[in-house]
Amino acid sequence: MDWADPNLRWVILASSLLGVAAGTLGCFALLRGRCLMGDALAHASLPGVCLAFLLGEFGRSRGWWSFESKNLWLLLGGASVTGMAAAWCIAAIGRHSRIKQDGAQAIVLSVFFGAGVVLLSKIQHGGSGEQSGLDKFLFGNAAALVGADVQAMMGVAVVLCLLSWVIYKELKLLCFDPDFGNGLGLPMARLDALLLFMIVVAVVIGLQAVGVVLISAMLITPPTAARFWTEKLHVMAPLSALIGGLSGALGAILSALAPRMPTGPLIVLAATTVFMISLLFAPQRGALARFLRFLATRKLVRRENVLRDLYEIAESHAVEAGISSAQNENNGAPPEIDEEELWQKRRAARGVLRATLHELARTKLVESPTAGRWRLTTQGLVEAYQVERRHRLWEMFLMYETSLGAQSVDRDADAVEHFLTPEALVQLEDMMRLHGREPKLEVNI
Amino acid sequence: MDISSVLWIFATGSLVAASCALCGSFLILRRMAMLGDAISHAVLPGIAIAFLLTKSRQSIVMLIGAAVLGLVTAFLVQALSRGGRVRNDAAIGVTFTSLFAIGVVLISRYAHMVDLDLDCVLYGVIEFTPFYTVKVAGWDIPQAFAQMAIVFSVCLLTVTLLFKELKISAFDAEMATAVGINAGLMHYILMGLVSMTAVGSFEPVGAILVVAMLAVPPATAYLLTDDLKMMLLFSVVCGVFSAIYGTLLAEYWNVSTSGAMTLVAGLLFVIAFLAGPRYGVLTRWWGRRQLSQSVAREDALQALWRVREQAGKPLDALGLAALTQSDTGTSRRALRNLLKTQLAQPENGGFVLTEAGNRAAQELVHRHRVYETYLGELGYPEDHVHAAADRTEHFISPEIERHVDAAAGNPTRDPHGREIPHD
Repeated sequence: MDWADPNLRWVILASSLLGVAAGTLGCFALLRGRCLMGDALAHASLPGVCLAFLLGEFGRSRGWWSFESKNLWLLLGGASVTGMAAAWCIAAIGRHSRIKQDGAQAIVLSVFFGAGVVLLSKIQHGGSGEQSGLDKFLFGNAAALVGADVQAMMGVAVVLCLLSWVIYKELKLLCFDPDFGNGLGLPMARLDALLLFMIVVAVVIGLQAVGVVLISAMLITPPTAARFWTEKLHVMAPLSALIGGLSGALGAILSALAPRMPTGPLIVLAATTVFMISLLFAPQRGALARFLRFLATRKLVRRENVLRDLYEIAESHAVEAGISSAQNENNGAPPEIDEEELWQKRRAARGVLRATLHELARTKLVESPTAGRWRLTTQGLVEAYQVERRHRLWEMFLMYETSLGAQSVDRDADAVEHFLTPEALVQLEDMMRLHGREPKLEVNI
Repeated sequence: MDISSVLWIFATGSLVAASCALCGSFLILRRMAMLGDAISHAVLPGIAIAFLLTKSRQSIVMLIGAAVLGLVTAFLVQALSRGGRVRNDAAIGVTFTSLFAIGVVLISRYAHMVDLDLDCVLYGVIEFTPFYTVKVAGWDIPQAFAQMAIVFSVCLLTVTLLFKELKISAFDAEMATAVGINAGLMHYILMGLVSMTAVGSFEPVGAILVVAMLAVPPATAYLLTDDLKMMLLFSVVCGVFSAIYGTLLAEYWNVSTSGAMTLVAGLLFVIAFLAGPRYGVLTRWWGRRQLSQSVAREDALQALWRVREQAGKPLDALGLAALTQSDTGTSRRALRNLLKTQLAQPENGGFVLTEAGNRAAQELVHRHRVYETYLGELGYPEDHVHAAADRTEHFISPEIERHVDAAAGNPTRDPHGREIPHD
């Protein structure tokens, strides 16, 4: 690999600019639920490329013009026309028949591509001298691009980026609340068409570098990866552009290192790597973070369950024996409870129960005066009393929810008393007493 | 090309089309057409790996390797969209492009070892199927045909045996779960069938034709019928038709066979889309047109009758348009229609009813006024009944008319005090 080769530097720059443009537009496509549209449009551009080539040949043979039939702008024009036609067909099938969006995409994609393959084979069988380059469009090879093509690609990519930056606010509205946009008097339908057209253009300029099958990945993977890191579009769009740009550059460099490798798959794999890192390690939505949160919640639930079980058993013992005597017997401490009895209460895994008990013992909330028997410490009793009271208040709340007039409560709140008005709380406590559900073991310190 | 080669190509193409049609119908119903697209691309690394491991085109290893990859795709998509909270379509996109990229990289890296052409991956070489043969019971049978025969049998057998289960879980997964069908298992069985079909069809027809045959004939059939069994039948017929005519067309034009098959399938779809018996765009447009014409005609008849009742001047198109609140074009067409069916005749620069027209109009006016009276009986205010009757009169059958007449007490005058004509 020769770093001094100016063409290589151009190719790397062009691939990364393509990645930036596709990554930015992909964000809007993702949010509009149009992810796989890129795939359909890419396949649909093949007949356009072939038709444009045939048209170029035809014109040249008649002497109408003298530019090459593989002229980039001609091919891009053809691809854009069939791409937009495909988008129109998908919309028409969705609107006028009972076939849904996905079916329409699959139909249009395969039929247009089939037409492209027919034309391509016709061109190849025709054996005109120039046909050889066209199948580059299938898999793409950025490393083989030269001068003018690269600059054209870069120019278009920059225009796309600038345009999406200029109409950022409108596109954002289109993604999140098109009806509101209509209400403001903005031409949402035309904006949607413009977005689609920009996607078509991005797909078409990417064809030579990445190929028909994989160009859709440049629209899908970077925004999907960026989505893991943020909830804000103004962060997501630049991040997705960055991921796209990096993957583009990396793919082009790797492809230059290994000459036989087509660029497209390498760019896609670079983007996929970023996607997998995001999927695993993103701070809020990442799989690892969510797994850790799950573990923490599970631990909390197990801890509170054991505390409540201990409390309830102790409470029932105390009620049987008369509350005051039970508490006085052990100098105010709750009675010892057999581990077997504790297990009977929930019949979950014994190992989990024992581990939780030992964990609680380590934080001095329970103690085991005799082997196999457990009791709450004073501190544990305070804690368990709180947990139990919360639980029973919650029960009452669920029973009398409608009569409390607290429909707009935040159900994620830690404790019932945090989101109820003081009056409602008094009411709930009365209800609790009425049902005999008030926690009966109190701490007398 | 000799005749037996052509027949083999027909047979192989038909088997591909039929297998795809069977699985594809369920994909269309479950709105998973793009998952079929994803699977047919994602089996590529499976094929490449099986190739590299066994260094042979031994099809059974390839079938298994790639079918496993197909299931992995279905599983990954499920895992990403359920567990990873990625949008379903994004999950499909990320999965299949990544797997396809891996496949292309593997094939490019080991190109010298792998006798696999990347172009064939996309559009296959069904033209060559007769040249690779295997011996089955002493006969030379094209390998692709034997392979597809197995795939088709498995598809047919599964769809027959699990028809009820697949049907219920395709239309209503919750109901399927409620009646004790494992909808998840059905999903993976379907995905397994799709992968197997995709892999089996990969070599002869390429990834794109698989997508085409999975989506297009079933969608065509879906536009033609409401019955799942008929849909399966129609989609197999459409698929086989496209396979055979596509081969002929490709031979005639000297172009790619799989591309031509796709084009024929697409053409059938367009025909069904435009002219399907119930859901065709043109069919529905024609039905609406007929209806509006018959409404305009009935309105014209009544208008002419009323003009005569009130001893007015014969109506021309302009007057009719003003009276029926429609445009002149519609009125002119309606009058022309009445003239042609000899219900009206020209007189004094306008039109009047003939004897037959008078009878037809009288029936209509009877219907209109009886309905008005009936609405009046129901307590409708007098000035509201005309508009309601005007809209409804075109859709009242003679039988309903008799009932309405009886319910209104066989009236002789309508709420406006006009006489109701009787025969």
